[in-house]
Amino acid sequence: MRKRVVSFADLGPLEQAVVELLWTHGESSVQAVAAGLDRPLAYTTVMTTLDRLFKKGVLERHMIERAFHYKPRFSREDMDRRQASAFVAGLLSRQSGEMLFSCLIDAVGQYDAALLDDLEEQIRKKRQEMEQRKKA
Amino acid sequence: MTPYVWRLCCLSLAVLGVFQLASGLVLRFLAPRFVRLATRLDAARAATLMLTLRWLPAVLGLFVAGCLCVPVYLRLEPLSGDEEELGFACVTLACFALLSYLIPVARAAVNVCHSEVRVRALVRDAEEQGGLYVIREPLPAMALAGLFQSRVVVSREVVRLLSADQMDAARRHERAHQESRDNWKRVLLEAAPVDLSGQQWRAAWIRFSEWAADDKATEGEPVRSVALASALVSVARLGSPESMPQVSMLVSDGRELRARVERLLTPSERVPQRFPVAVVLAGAVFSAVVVAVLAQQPGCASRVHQLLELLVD
Repeated sequence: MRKRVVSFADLGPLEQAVVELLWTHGESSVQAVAAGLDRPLAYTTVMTTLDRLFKKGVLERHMIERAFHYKPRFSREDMDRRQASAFVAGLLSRQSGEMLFSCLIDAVGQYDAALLDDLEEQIRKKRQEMEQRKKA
Repeated sequence: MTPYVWRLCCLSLAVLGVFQLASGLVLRFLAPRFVRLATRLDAARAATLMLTLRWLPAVLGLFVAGCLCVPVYLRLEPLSGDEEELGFACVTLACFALLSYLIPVARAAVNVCHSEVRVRALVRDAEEQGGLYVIREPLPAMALAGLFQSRVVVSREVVRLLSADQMDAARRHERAHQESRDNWKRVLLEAAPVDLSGQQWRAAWIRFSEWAADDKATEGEPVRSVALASALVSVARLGSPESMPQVSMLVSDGRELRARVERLLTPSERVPQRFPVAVVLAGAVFSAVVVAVLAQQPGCASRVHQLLELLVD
């Protein structure tokens, strides 16, 4: 079965705090993460949280002197991108068949810049025309 | 279940299957003509017509199976004919019909649950501003979300981008979708049985429902029309790859956007034709009465029975 893409928003408050901390401090041990958090938490709680994040595919880990060190698998920007992609694919994609939303525009994504320029030009002309008619 | 009832069920489903295939094939061929015809109608009625045509083969099939085949079978098929076996084609058609009805309904039910869960998650984290739910995602999104308690959700990016009149026009557009219960109609489209013409009606319905929401939002006011057109272009530009590199996986050829904007800027002088709903309803009732009367005629009933026997073998 395909593994679900985990975005930052899917994580719990503690998990988000841990990931934020690892983004700031880089690779850290369980002890370092526990010490860096705003509120005092039991070592085992932090260890379980880090293990859960590893299993979710958010963190990577490797052993240094018989202790796991964790680091984020994705940068903050990558995570934002994943979040945006998952959001768009899940909520706004009409191809997914899950689309039970009525969106302002049919598809979010790549519109040809020339097309948008052309449409904007048409709107501008229409506005001018209306202004002139108003003055007359 | 006795073999008699089992055979009746299979036969009814097989008749449905035949109807699905035959009417789907005919409507697939006729779909472009119907869509062209619909463009001459008022947009809201055109959308209704597309939804009706999407469900027509299924409704016709259910009607013929339920009102013609079942009564004829019950009247003319002897209860003693239990040894009669169902042919391979009959069973295949029955399976096709069963799956073509059940799969879309199941899929639609799952989608409804997923959507509701997502809407709740979105709204939970959103900030309410004058009836709009401002979501955190950095996306060019504005939509009517949810079925049971639909809400207009909008991203901060869009709130920042649109001027007051553009936002008002966009909000009116989403409210129009809400009043027309378009999200429920989407569920109906999802739940319609599989047939050979399905996607054409869906695409056309989406186009006409957007046009209808545009019409309702602008109410023929040129200032509002221009505001909505510019809101559409601004939101589309926000989603372009230069400003949003993370959402570049969806590609639109822009034809629908161009059609909508041009329609808003140059409203047609032509008065849209009225869809003769009363005539269509009268025709449907008349056809139902004719079929019901025919089912009572011994000659017709025996012919239908012969056809059913052919299907069984």
